[in-house]
Parts: sequence; structure tokens; C-alpha cells
Amino acid sequence: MIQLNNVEFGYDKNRKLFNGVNWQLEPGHLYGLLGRNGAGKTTLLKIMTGLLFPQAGDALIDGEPAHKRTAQQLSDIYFLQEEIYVPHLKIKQFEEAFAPFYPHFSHEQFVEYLTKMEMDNMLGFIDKFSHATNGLDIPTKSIFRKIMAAYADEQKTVIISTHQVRDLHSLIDAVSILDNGRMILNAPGDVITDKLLFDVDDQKAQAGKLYYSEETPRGIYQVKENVNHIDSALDLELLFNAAVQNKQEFTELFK
Amino acid sequence: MNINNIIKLIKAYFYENWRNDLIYSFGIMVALSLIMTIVSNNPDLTGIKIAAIVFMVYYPCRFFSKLHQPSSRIHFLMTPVTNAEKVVSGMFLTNIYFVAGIVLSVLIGQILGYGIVNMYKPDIFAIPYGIHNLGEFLKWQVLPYDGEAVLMFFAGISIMFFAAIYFKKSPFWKLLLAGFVISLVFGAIMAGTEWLNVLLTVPAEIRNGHYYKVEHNIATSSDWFMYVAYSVTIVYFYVMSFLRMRETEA
Repeated sequence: MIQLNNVEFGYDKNRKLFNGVNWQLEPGHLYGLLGRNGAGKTTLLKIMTGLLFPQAGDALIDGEPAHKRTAQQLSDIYFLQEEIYVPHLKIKQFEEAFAPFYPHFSHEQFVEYLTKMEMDNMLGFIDKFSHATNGLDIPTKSIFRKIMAAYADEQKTVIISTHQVRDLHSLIDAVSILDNGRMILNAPGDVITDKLLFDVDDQKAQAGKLYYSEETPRGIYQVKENVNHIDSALDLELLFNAAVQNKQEFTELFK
Repeated sequence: MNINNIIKLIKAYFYENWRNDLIYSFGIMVALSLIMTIVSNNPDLTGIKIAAIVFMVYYPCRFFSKLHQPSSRIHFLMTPVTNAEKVVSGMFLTNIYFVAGIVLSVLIGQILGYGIVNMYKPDIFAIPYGIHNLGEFLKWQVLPYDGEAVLMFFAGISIMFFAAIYFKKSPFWKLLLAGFVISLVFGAIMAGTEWLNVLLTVPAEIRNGHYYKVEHNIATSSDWFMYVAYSVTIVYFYVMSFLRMRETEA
């Protein structure tokens, strides 16, 4: 389990990026971390993986402070950022050099992923994974999602931070939204759709509180209170816009 | 500390760098061969030796170059071994592998150079230095260095090792500056020690005497101090390197 307890951090001493962030991540979930540009998503991931140290509060991996970066912790986590170091090695050499550091590494799984992604060199492989769904063509996006879905199991926690929310919604099962140095929403998808109704209609909602609406040629997209617990499909873009416009209410609603 | 993790790190280093290291070694050999060929009539090798030592002292920078770019820094910091294991593997590579590599390259380069000279000027090869075989050659090249000089050399490496971890940007120039400042400090300490030693051990009437010669006294009594000073420096900078590595952020 990964926990952030009242984490404070800032690159500038006089301007805090995070002012008491709390976030708890359970194994067996695939989280989508959303936030505006500069909200601190990458910084938060770096704090969680022990690459940056919180100025106050705790970042814990299985109860141990992340900043200790023990061999055990580091063999259980991996942080793949947009710009990634690519050694000048062939895939086989890369595997021989770095796989021994990871006790859970599976050669068969590695080969399977490479084959699925039609990769024959390290640069392409890492490039595709580091950019997640950015810049991938439609069939490769689909393969990527399948790989991620197959990879995630009951013991793993996966966090994907991206602006490409439309590519994510079929993949993730929990959503976290970071805004103004705070986690304003952190909930599983089913809890969100139980409390909120994502709807497209000709007119604005009459029943229940309307959190967000957006007029389009196809109708009015809306996020409203799910008074009657009707099933609806989670729309991450609408959810994000609704959350940043109703921070206080969303924080209370998903406490 | 797990020895297997240290071996894994060293192995990963070799996978990534063996080609470059081989190219550099080959470059040194070729350069030395050419130099020996050109200066065979009057071969003063002091400059070459200094260059080789600077190379060796500078090498920690190369090992920790991964810490100088954000993406490779993350890769290095997230490699699943402890900070102590990262430091120890770096110590092995900079103190043994790089030093042995450069010394061998220099020696082979020089031997090749002598060989080339010998082909067209057979009289020059053996006569100037009495180099009749490889054993003699190694003895001539390596043994002139005494224990204090060797310790000073390894102290230099330990200082550069720390600096290479400490500085994230422009490490080369900062290392040069740090090296300059450190030599000044060491120079001041050595001069101060000698002055203090003379002041404390030699009576004033002799010290101020017309025929007083202090060379022997100063050398023997300050030797032990320098041995201790260099050893303390080496330990101090490796401990500092470990502490700094522990606190290095992405």
C-alpha cells in the first residue's frame, strides 16, 4: 500500500506546491491521476517513489518511508516518466543487465509484451511505454490498454498520469484529481458513478444538483447528483471539469 | 550490504560502457605510441604521467555522469540496490578498474611506441633507459611512486568521487574549481605542518643558525602525518559520498 499523509512540498521555499496532500493507494487498482499542467502530478509521483523528499508529512510504501529507497522498495516500484533514460543496448543486453535487479521479473512476460507491441529495439519499447497513450496510433493504443489490463492484478498498484483521458476511461478503475496542492477527489470508479450521474440531454437537469454542464452539437453533457442511483458511464473529462469547479463539495462528497 | 547487488551494478556498468571504455583505452594506447615514437630521442614522460593521473582522478565524474541528467539520474536512483551498494560499486570502478585500465593502456602504448622506434632506430630502444625486458620496464614505470604519493592519488579520487555525486550541473568545471581550492588548502596544511614541526622540534638557536639544514628532519617527521591526513581524507570523502547519495533527489 502507498500512503501520503499530510505531505507538504515546494520547489520554492515561499511557495508550496502541496499543502497537506493525503492519498491512499490500494493494491489491485489502476489509478488515473488527473490534474492541470503544473498541478504537481509528476512531483507527487516522484515523492511517492522516493525520488523527492517531502518537506513535511510522510510518503510511505508498505509502511516504510519512500525516501529511504531500500533495495526491496525499489525492486517493487517503477517510475516511468515522459523523458526516459534509454541505454544504448539491444533488448537482450538490456534484459541481461537490468533484469537481475528485479526478483519478480518474468522473461516470458517481457517477450510477450515486446511481441504484442511489435518492438525489436529498446528505444522504441521504452518510448512507447513512457509516452503511454500519447502519440500512439489507434491499434497500438488498444494493444497498450490490453497489456496494462493484463498486467494489473490484485497485488499491483498502477498509476497513470496523463491528459489523454479519453484513452484511459476503459482502463482505470479509480480516479484521483489533484488541484491547487490538494487531492480533491480520490475514489473508485463505481463509487463515483454511484454518486454522480454522467448524462447527455437536450436540456439542463431538473432533478438533483448540477455540478457541471457543457453544450455541444449533440446535446448538453452534464454531471449531476445521482439522486436515483442510475447507472452511467464515467466520463473523465466531465468529471475533471466538475471537480475543479466544485472543489469543496467534491472533497466532502468523496471523503 | 549485499555483494551480489554490487556485482550486478558493476555488470550493468560494463554492459553499458565496455565499448566506450575500450575505445578510450585504445585511444590512449595509440596516443602514447605516437608520442613515444615522436619524442624517442628525448623522452621526458612527466607530462604524460600527469595527464594519466588527471584522467584517473577525473574518472569518478564519468561513473556518476548518470547523476548529471534528470532522466538517467532517475534511472540510477531507482536501481534497486542500497545507496551504500551504489557507492561501493563506484569505489571499485574508480579505484581499481579505471586506474588499472589507464595504467595498462599507458604501459602498452609506451611499449608499442618503443617497439615502433626500435624498428627503425634499434639503438634508441634499449640504451636510454636500460629497458631490457617487460619486468624492468614495469619497475621503471611504476615503482618510483612512494606510498605517500599513492595515498595522495587515492585521496584525490575520493574527493572527485564526492564532487561527482554532489554537483548536478557543470560538474567538470566545478570539479576543476574544487580541485584548485582543495590543492590550495592541502598546500597550506602541508606548509603549516612543516613550519609547526620545525618550530616545535628544532631549538631556536639551531633553527636560526647559519648552517642549519632541516630537510631530513622535516621529511621524516611529517611523513606519518601526511599518511594519516590522506587516509582520513579518503575515509571522510567516501562517507560524505554515501551520505550525499542518500540525500540525492531527482
